[in-house]
Amino acid sequence: MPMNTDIKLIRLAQALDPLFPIGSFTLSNGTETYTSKNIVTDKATLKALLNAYVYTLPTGDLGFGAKAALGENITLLDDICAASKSPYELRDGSTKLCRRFIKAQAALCPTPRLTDYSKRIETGECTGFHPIAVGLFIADIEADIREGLSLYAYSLLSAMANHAVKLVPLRQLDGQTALYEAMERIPEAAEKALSVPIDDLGISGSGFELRSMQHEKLFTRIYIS
Amino acid sequence: MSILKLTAEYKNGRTVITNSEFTAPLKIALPFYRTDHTEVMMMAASAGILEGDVYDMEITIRENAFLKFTGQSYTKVFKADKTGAKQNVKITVEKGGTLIYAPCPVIPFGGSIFDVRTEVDIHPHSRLAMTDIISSGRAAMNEEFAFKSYRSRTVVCIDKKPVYLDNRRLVPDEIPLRGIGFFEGYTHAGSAYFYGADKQALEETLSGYSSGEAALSLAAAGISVRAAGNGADPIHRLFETMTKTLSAD
Repeated sequence: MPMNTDIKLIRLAQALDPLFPIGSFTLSNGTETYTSKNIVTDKATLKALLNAYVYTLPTGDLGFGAKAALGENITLLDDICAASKSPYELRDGSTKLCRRFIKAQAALCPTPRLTDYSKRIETGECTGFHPIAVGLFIADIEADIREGLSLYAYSLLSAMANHAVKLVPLRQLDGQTALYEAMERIPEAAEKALSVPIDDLGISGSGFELRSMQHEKLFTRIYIS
Repeated sequence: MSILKLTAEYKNGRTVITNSEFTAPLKIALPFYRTDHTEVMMMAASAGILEGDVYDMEITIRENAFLKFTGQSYTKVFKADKTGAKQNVKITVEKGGTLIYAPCPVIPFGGSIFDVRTEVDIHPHSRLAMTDIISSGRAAMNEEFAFKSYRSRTVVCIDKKPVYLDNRRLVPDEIPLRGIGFFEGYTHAGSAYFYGADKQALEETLSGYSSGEAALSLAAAGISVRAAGNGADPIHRLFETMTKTLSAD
């Protein structure tokens, strides 16, 4: 189906909207640990969290998305993603989102690369990870890769900011101010993600990993990661 | 380039080193024979790792052998002039074999550049424990996060498929490593990986760690551990206790 640029952008916006029905609102990716341990308590600490997160994105989910969009070997990416997300909830959350993302896109309008990924997941050749599905979707609808990755990065950061605003709680404007600052780093992150060496995929931060593991044992949990 | 090659085999009821090759400054001490395993300690006859050093290591655990590989004290990485130092490690654990790989904590000095690549291939029916501790630098010398870069990539594969990847790239000039997402106020970060270990036993050891924070989780296969603390020794002791869940002594 030929699409003009505006429609591509809108389809991307829908696919990456936190309200897109795939459950990303249930995942905090460790943010809940940061707020419950009083590490993220105000605008300044939320800024630090978002800045650190956007710094890790090119070797993290944004990197996997970029490589998938550029046509890198999907099984290889899927294997590296599975191995690098060693905190269980990060891995499981991403797999759940991936399956729902594929299902939702298939219901709206099936696309070739996503359909192929879905088959590989069914046969067990791949586990299925959300960033890879997003990258394949960007390639499938022939959207501008940089725009697609930027929107994806925005969607990840915005979700993290909004979770923190609800959890701390913070003033909505404080959340948006912190997000606004981190947003400025998105174009650079998207550019880096496109040129990240395969060996650098999966580089995160030891703090992020520790907090995600601790989330499994938090006394009160609103989010599932 | 310095080389260290080691093969451990199970013969007549105990694990013996059937092949060992090394070039200065790397060497291994005479093995200790424990109840159910053999321990070798790597020693480096130098003050630390210098600019241009390349360490190439290969450890092979043959069927049913059980080796514990440790280091002497700390790995000091000195200031680099250009490209820094590199270490490549290739590990194979065959069917029924066990390896406990617990090298020294790394202290990257001010201005240092270090790049460590560790590739591990294990048989589905084998056991593995590997530990890694990195310091932020020589605190007493005001050298916290004063290194240029520290890069390490550890990948564990079962039947050629990666099941665990611990990928680190620490560049203090790019991001506040003391802060959120990284060391988070602590001076030391540790990671460990266990395959074929008892999760509950490992979890129990974590509750005894009081000088920092530590947690574990189920990796794609095996168990991943992350620890943070203010000193290498407490994390080292925690990891030592965890690895002992695999051995009799």
